Amino acid sequence: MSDEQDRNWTRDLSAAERVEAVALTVSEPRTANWIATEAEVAHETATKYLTRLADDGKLRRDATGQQTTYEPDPVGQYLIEMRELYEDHTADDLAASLTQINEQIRTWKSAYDVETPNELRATIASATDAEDERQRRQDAREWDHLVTRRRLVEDALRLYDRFPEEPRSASA
Amino acid sequence: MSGPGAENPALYRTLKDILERQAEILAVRFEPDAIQKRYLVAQVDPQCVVPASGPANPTLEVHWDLTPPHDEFRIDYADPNIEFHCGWHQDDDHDDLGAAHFQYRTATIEAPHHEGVVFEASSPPKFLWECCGRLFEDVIPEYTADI
Repeated sequence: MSDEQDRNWTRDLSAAERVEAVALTVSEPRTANWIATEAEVAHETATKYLTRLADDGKLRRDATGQQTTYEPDPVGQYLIEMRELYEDHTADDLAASLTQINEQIRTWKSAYDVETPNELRATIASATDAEDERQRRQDAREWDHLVTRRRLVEDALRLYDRFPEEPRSASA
Repeated sequence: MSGPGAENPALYRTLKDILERQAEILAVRFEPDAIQKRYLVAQVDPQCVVPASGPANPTLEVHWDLTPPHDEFRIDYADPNIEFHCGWHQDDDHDDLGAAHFQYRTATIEAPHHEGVVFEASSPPKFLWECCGRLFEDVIPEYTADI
């Protein structure tokens, strides 16, 4: 069975898919060469797809340094995500999730007696043991994540106010 | 998208697609839901792993944070049928093992076993792809054959 299922990065994903997957998940700006190596495509192939992704607003291109670099376009990605929330979820679902997010954040504030994720990080040094330290670090990261998701959900709800009668592709 | 706390919504969307391409995976969902997207959970087909398991679906959980210069992640496989757990982690645990480490635990061993690992991949999607290869083609056949 395993012979049939052997997966292959370059066979199972197209060159365009590999370039897009790599370029959209870099944590810092990267050159076309770096992305080409990771995606296992020729430099010219990477440049072609990266240019297309930048033209589509998915990537941000910076040509001011010695080498042109690429990274996910924060505005482009934010808009894609906001639209997905608007199209895939009802306003009631979004509002219910907003309540859950706020409750979770209130729980962290009260449990750790802090007001922000960075204040929570500042308490890591005084954690009782390694497990407590790991938990504080993880909670701070999740807190950051939920703050971002909360903004997205609030903006998706504003789309409902702006376009109340628009048909949506939602199955919800 | 660089900088601590920066959030890139394309990350989990891309990783979900990578998981959905694996023949052994039945379905992938966000937890706790597709609005909060805190992490990913894939349901694995117990009949597609070697040796076959069941009746419950094993799960593969993926947490990933883009934190330059080194991302933090946890990729955890759990088969409740045979109480087998394993995973690849890159976090502040086990610094002595290098950036990333592999760990596994079975019902018969008291503490999880850890070892350092080296991957070719530098990007999250390629890394996850390699992990799925090691998990389904090497780790599960090797570590669960005698359970």
